[in-house]
Amino acid sequence: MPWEGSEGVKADARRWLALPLLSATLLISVLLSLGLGSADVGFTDALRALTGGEGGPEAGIVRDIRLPRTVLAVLVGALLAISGTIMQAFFRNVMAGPYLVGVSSGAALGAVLAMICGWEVRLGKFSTVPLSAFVFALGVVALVYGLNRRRGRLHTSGLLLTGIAIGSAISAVVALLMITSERSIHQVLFWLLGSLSAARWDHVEIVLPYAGAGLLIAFVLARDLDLLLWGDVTGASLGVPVERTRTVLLAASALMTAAAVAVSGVIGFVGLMVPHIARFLLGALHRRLLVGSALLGGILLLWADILARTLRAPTELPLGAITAIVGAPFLVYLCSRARS
Amino acid sequence: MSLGGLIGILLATLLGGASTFEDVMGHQVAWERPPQRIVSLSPSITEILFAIGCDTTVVVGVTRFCNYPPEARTIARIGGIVDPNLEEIVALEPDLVLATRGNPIEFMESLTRLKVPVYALETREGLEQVLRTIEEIGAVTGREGAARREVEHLREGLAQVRARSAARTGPRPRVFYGYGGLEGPHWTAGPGSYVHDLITAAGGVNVGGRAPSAWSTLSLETIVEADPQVYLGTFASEGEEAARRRVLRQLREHEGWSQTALARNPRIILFAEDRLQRPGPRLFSVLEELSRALGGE
Repeated sequence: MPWEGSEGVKADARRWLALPLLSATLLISVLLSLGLGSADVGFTDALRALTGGEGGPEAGIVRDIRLPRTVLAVLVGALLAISGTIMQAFFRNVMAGPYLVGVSSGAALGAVLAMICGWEVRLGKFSTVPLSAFVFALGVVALVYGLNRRRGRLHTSGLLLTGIAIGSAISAVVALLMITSERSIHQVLFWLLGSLSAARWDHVEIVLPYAGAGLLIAFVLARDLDLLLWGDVTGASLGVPVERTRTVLLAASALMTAAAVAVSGVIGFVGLMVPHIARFLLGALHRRLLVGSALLGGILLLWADILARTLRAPTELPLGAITAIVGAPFLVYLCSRARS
Repeated sequence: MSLGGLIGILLATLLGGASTFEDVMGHQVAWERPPQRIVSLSPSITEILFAIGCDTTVVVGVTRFCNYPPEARTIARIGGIVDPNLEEIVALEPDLVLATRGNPIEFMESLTRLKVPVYALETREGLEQVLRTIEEIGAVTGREGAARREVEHLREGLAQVRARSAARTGPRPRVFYGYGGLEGPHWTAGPGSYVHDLITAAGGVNVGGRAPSAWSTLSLETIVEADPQVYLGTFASEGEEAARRRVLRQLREHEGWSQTALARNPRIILFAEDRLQRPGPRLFSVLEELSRALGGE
């Protein structure tokens, strides 16, 4: 298992150094992202648009299309990565990810229902599809949670199994809806593979509070996450209010993931993979790991989205397909290096 | 195909002036008397069959999506396009099943194995292909004359629209066809699609012409860069007004769209989904209306 090894003073210094390096990488990636795209708008236009300047069509494309999309990619990547890190500690399982307790299947059901039934609902910055995806995602998590809470105790293994079972059942319903729908399912397919092609400032405003709150909660509870890795009994004996902490962590993870999925669809692999890479670079202590995961998740998803919108420009590829195709071999490589 | 079948076709051809047809996939259909019991596996085929003079006594099975012409709703349903029901079709004892792209290939093979004659049609390409498909259906159903007259009639309309477009002066309006609205992913019709042909013939410039294939997504920045002036779209059960309000709202709300000429002076042309999304004869009435709308009439 890629958990913490021995932590020497030198290794510790190197690990703290990784954070500024990741931050710098993220900043450079963001700048590159603003200069890349299918429209004929390059880096100089991007810089001019950012520094004010005149408001030509190029500036509009950078400010109103590329910038929100770039910011959203970073935020969604960070949310999925933080949520994945929390879930892996929560379940003490390296296979855990943000979608484990039914968030993605619930969101998919909500989104597909909204698209197929042609609903029109709005709430604040939420338009129909994100709203429906968000509500259904949280609904399914609440159901899974409720089914596994008995006499004030939360059954972790039950959560896993119920999450998988309900997730499978909902996926089947989604497939049935798609097959029997009289409407076009192109939109649905793209959504199920994840995409940021609909990105706009409203979406940034939707996820921003969750990213902030999630990061804050994760940071406050970082030490508890470290202790949870030793098991509930040890954790409790070291002073962690285990049940309450678990509930808070699960709720935080579900909210972050639901917000991310609501605006981007189901982007696979980021939440599962990033925590492992982050642990490899930063070690397993959660205070550092969570910040590192957030940065890495942002970088990774941003580059995946840059590829999605430039590889076959002017058409776009589904983002989730790219994260999985690029991510899987990388994770396999990391595992083999960790073993040797 | 079995040797017996081949000999049968040969004999029939030599003796009785029977007709044999082979489709793009290699299915063979032979008859001495034009088919009397036809099953259609797609709404566009159903529309074409009625346009060339078939009625509910000849078209005995249709998909659950076949809603035009209205009498098509009274015909037995054989399931959907991707999920047709083998038993229902066999029970109808058809002497011809017309299939199209989108129907499962294994399903056509199952029909062939059960000795139900299947003929598959290519219907997804450009406007010319729609006309060729009408002629092809005319031939394989033994209604060549009616099909030829229908195609001539449609061609006349097409020529008139093209002449009208050519006579117009001034720059041609830039049209974006949104398959699924203005929110991403932005599916649209590229070169080689019949929608592209419709827009071009009606005197517009298709923004989707930049797309790499007939049906494709286009990134928003490419669309905004092209600066569309007209939005061409569809409405379904929600109705035209609701669809128009949604498009207007999306144009206003989305920072990307809001910079286009379309947002400054919205020209929104909507057609019922089944009229614009079916490669059949009704596309030519869509063309007529689109031409008038683009010409400002």
